[in-house]
Amino acid sequence: MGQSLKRTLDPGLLSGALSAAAVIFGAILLREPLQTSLAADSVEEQFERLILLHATLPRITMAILCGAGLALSGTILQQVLRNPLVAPDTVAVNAGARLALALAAVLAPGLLGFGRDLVAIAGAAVSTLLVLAIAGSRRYSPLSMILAGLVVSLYCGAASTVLVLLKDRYLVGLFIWGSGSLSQQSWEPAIQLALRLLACGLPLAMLMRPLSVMDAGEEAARAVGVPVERVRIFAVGLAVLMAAFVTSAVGVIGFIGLAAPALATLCGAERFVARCFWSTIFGALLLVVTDLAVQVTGGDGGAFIPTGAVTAVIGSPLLLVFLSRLRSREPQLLAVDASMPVRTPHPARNAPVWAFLAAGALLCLCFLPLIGRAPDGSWFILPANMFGEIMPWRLPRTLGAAGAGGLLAIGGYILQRVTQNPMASPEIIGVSAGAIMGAAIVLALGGAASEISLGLAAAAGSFAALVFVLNIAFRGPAAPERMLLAGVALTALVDAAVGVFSASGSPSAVLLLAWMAGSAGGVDMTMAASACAAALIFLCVALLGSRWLAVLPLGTPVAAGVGVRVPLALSSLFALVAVMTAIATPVIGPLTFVGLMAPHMVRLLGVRSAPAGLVASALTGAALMTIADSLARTIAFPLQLPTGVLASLISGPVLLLLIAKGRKQ
Amino acid sequence: MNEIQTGAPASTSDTPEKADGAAVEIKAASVSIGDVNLLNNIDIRLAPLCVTGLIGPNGAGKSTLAKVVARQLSLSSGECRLDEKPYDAFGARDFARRIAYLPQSIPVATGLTVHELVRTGRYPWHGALGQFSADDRAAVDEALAITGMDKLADRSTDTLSGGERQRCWIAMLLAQQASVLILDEPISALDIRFQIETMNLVRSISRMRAVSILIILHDINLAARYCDEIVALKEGRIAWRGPAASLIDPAVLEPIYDVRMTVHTAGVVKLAFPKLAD
Repeated sequence: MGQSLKRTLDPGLLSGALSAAAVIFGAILLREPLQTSLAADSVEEQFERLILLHATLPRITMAILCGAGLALSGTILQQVLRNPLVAPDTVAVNAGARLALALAAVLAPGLLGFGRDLVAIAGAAVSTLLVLAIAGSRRYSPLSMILAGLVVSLYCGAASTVLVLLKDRYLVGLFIWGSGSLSQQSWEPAIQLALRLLACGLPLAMLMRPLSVMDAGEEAARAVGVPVERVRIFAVGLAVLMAAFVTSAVGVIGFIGLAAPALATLCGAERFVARCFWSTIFGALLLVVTDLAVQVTGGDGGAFIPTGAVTAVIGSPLLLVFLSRLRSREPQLLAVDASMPVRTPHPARNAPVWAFLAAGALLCLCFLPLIGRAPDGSWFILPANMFGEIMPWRLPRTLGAAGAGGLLAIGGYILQRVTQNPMASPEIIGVSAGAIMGAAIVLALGGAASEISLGLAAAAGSFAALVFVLNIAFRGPAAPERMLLAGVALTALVDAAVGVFSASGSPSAVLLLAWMAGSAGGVDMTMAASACAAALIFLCVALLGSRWLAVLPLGTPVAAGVGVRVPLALSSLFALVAVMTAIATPVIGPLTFVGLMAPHMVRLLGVRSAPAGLVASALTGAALMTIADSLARTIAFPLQLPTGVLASLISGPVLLLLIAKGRKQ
Repeated sequence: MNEIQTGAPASTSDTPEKADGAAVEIKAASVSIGDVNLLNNIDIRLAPLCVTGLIGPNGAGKSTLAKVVARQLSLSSGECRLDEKPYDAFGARDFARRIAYLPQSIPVATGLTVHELVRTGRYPWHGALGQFSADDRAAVDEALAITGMDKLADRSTDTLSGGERQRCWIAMLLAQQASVLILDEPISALDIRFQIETMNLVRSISRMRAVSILIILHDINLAARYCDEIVALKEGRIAWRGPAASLIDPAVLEPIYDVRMTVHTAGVVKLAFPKLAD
């Protein structure tokens, strides 16, 4: 921990403040029921008492248990993985558990009655192992771990969404649960969770000492005879177990597992035991305060607002604050290691590359819309005489997806070049999320807004997000990580905010949910045509900036040295990216990864010069999204899946492979 | 020691060549960040055909001064003039056509070929949108030829050796066709042969192109041998300045570096070494 951060907060003071907040909210919430239930005479008053005893109090207990469990799990993970940004959320423990439960509900509902915890643990274990395997191939570098965790989380989220869409009647409850609702009907779940967490106490006590030694670093621990590998496996297992128990009981509660240990470190808890102690207390208090606040402010509907989403709304800005202040405990580990393979140039290969790209994009655009499925489910190619009937339905979504894919791919290419961060893309660094946030604010303020004002708000939102993320990224060392993580936090924030907004029951939330899912199916011809036109126009605009794109990657001093007005160039390019993202996001949603994938594929194909890269990225992006859209239309026939979600399902594994392979070459 | 330090004044300001033709003139330049004074009241002139070596211990403000001359950093007080006009009178590209700057840390992996990297040096001439003209092409070819990089033009810069990479960046600077070159430690990562080659290159460029060069060096013997003028910085102030020939002298070097020095003479060449503890 950086010297400057030591003792900036007093742990006692902080926990006191949190407790006070809890008491105040608790008093507001409980005063009336307590008064009435003490003198419970009438039926109504007895009903109040029942609620107090069997819903309100268990809920508070549950919040304490969940907060403590997640915080402890996060602290252990951070200790063994030597990474201050690891938490049950960021290494995909929660998301894996959630997906496993959703799968079990659909495929084998019997399993849930039999052993809900087992299913959750299995899911959490699989996703964690996956993250560790990917990160392991890059020597567990913090960046690759968090990235892998993020992608696996998003992947699990997309898969859960698809499941909800396919089998919605089974899973509506799961959807509410999935966002982390703490409502309780009895003491039973709280007692069960308490027992399970207590059972984790013994192994934790046994691991305490070896884990403490790891404060001094891995080598030192090994030198004094700690079997580091074994301790690590057990500790990760234990942390996963605790997080899975919590997830199985109440669903995904965002950011407590990250925020509580971070707070403890910020309070100057240097030793592992102290960190465990304080972060457990902070975790419990944070969740109780949040939950009580949700109930107090939420009024009658408050019981149904998922607290997990609210903690994410509160917690992700917190993460952003930490990001800008936190120094890694081992800075050398967080050194920039994001360099992706740059193939040695093959000038002679360029001609086939172009032929391949152009033919591929053309083929995708012309041929894929023809493939469809008959009412009986069989596949067929649309005969010419049915064009008139079918094409008005298929053409808009195909064109829309292609245009939006092209836009995001150009945006991704610009961002990757300018920031020199191979993982930058509008979706990943939160630009898409910013677009949705902008639209959400307009919807929340003005209710029914026109398309133009929504579009402008989305553009403003994405530009603000971009500026914000880059500002955080360049405030300290390890810029690429900061950029990604700031983007992730922003995306999580928007995701959670939209979740809370839609739980509030506002009709305009439906529009936002559609944006989030990225359903190209709802796109009309005007929107599709304008996306395509925008892709073409902005490709030309971007080409005008290709000299900048050639010089800026050489670094600001060099760029300024050859006479580039760097601030002007950067702000123009970023404004361009923001506008393109704002146009593309409503069509295919915020999580397609196409803006990340397309530039990488272009680079792997050996295209290096900026103008060629822009054109090739646009073609690749359009082709990728056309493929995704055709699949979304056909694979679950007669259901149509959201294109954006499907695109993230397809590109997720490729992305993971890229992260895993990245450094080897 | 202290006596010598204060007693070693900025001994001379007349350069070997015509002093009135100074391309760059920095007057009373100070840079401070917060309470820290990085540069204090610096005067420096860069004349055509003159290689000025900037030496001094770590943290003396050498890179800061280079950045000031290259307009990468603005002054807290003082004045910078280029061709008798204040720096502010020049637009970004206008300035870059006159002063070229090679930062201390240059990116290792650029993903560009040598030719592509050198081409970026033509940005001040063609700008963001202009045609890449025959003049631009000729300048690139010439820069590649002078630095001997023409045979490697199609290689990726990522696969070059340290010396080749350094020469490649110098070629980029040459393609810029500026009349003033600012080089921040261009030879620190190179082995002896490449150091000599690079210094020879720098010297011949200054003679051939009649450009003025400001070069930050750590090796005082190389500085004495290849530069015309030396400016020594210490704690943000000019500790000594004079013709390169008079640098190799314990009385000059000891106050700059606070190290006891001894001088060996090999033929006409004088070499300075730190005295070993006895």
